[in-house]
Amino acid sequence: MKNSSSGSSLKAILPPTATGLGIVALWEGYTRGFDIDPLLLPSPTAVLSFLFANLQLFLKHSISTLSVISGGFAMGALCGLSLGVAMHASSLVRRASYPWLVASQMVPIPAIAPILLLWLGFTIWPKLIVVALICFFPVAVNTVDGLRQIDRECIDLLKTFKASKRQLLLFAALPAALPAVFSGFRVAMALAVIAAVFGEWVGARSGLGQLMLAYNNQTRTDGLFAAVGVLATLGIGLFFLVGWLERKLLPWRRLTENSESP
Amino acid sequence: MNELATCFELAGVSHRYESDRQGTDALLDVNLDLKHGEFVSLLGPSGCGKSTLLKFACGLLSPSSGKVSLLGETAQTLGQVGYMPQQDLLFQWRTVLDNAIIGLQTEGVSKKEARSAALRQFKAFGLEGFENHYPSQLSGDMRQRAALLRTFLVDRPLYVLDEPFGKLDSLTRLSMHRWLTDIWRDRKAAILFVTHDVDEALFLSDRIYVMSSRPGRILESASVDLPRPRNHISMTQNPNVSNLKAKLLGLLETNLNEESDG
Repeated sequence: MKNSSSGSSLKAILPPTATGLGIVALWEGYTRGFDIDPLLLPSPTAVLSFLFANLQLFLKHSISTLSVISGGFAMGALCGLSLGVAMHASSLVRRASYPWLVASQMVPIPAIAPILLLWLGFTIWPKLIVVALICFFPVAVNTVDGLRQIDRECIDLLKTFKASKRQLLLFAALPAALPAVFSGFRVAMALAVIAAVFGEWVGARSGLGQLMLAYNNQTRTDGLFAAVGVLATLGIGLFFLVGWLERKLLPWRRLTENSESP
Repeated sequence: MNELATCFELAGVSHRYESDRQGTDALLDVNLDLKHGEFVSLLGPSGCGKSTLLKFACGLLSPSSGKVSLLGETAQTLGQVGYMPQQDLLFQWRTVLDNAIIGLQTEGVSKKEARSAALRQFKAFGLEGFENHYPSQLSGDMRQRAALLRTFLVDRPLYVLDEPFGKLDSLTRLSMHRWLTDIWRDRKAAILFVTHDVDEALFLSDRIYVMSSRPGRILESASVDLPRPRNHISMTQNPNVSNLKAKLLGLLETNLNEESDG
C-alpha cells in the first residue's frame, strides 16, 4: 500500500480489466459460435459498432442524463448533510424528523414519479427530485452516525479550551464525521444513476433512460446494450470521482489507514 | 503577584460514583494546594482517582462534596485551567500546526495569528520541520510534545497534566523531563502533574502528594528541596533524594499491602 507508484496502480487496474475482457471474450465467442440471433443477444462488437456509428446521439443523451444525476445528487447530498447536522445539533429536530426520514424511503418512487411529472411537467425538475429523494437518505443517515463517532474525550478537551457548541461541531464532530459522510456520498452516487434512468423512463424528452426505452420499443437490442454500457461507464466514473474527491479533501485518511495496518 | 500565594486549592473534596446501587467511593477528604508557579506531582497507584482529581481541577467534573478554588475564587474552573489528558487526543485531520492552535482558535484568535504564534514555539517544543505533518506520521514522544504545545499555547495560571509521559520509553522520558522543566520555568505557571513513577515525581516537583489506592486519600505531602536545574545523574547520587525516594516507596507499598490484607 505504501509505495503507490505505477507498479501498485497497475496491480489495482489489472484484475478488473482482465475480468471485464474475459467476460466480453466469452460473450463474443458465444454469440459467434452458437450463431445467436442479434435481436436476442447482440455480440459486443455489434454493440460497439452501433455505439460508434451513433456517437453524437449517445453523447447528447449522456449529457442530459449526467446533468440529472449531478444536479439531483447535489440537491440530495446537500439536504441530507444539512438534516444530518441539524438532527445531531438538536434533539428536538431529531425526534421530530427521524420517523419521517425513514418514511420518506418507504414511499415507492414509481408511485410518486408520475405525480411529480403531473405537477412539474416535462422539465428536468421531476427527474432531479427523484434522484435527490434517493440520494438524500444514505447521506443523512451516514452524517448522523458519523457525527456520533467523535470521542467523548475530544469534546471534553475542547471544553477546557472554552469551545462553544458551534466550535465543538466545527472543530471536532464534523471533521470526524467526514469519512462516514463520504461513504454516504458513494452509496448515494451509485443509487443516483439508477434513479436518473428511472426518472427518465417515467417522462423525458432526452436522456439515456429515454433512449433505452426507445430502443426497447424498436427491438434494437444492440442500441439498448450500448445505452446500458454508456450508463454503466458514467456510473463507474462518477463513483470513482467521489473516491478521488475524498482522497483530495481528506488527505489524512490514507495516512491513518497506512499507520493502522500492520 | 505574590509567589507564595495560593493558586489552586482542593478543600475536603470527596467523590462518589453513583453508577451502581451502592456506589463507589473514588476520593475521600482530599486537601491539596498549589502556590503560584509551583510544580506539584500527584503520586499514586493506578486507579486511585488521580485523573478524577485533575478533572475537578479543570472543571470537567464536580466533586460530590468539598470545595475547588482557583485564584481564591470557587467559581467554575472550566476554561480557566490548561488540561492535558492521558491520551494525546490530537485531531488526526489536522496537521501538527493546526492541532497546536486549537486552543487559540476557540478563544477567537484568527487562524493566521494563531499559526504565527504557534510557529514561534515549534523549535522550543522540538517539532521544527513537522509543522505540516499529520499526527499519525509522528513518533510517540513527538505526539506528546505536540499535545503539550497545544496545552501551553494558551495562557493559564495552572496546567494539569495527566501522566503525559506514561507511554514513552525510559530514555525518552529523561529528555522530556529536562525539557518540560525548561518550558515550566519560562511559563511561570503552576503545574499539577499526575504520575505513578517516583523518580519522575522527584525530578520534576517542588512538592509531591502521595495518594492511597481507591478510595483515594492524601497520605503525605513531601517537599523536594533540591536546587534547579536538576540533573538525573547527581540526583541518583544524592542521599537526601534516596531517603525521600525510600520514604515515598515505603508509603506506597504499605498502602498496597494493607489493601491486599484487608
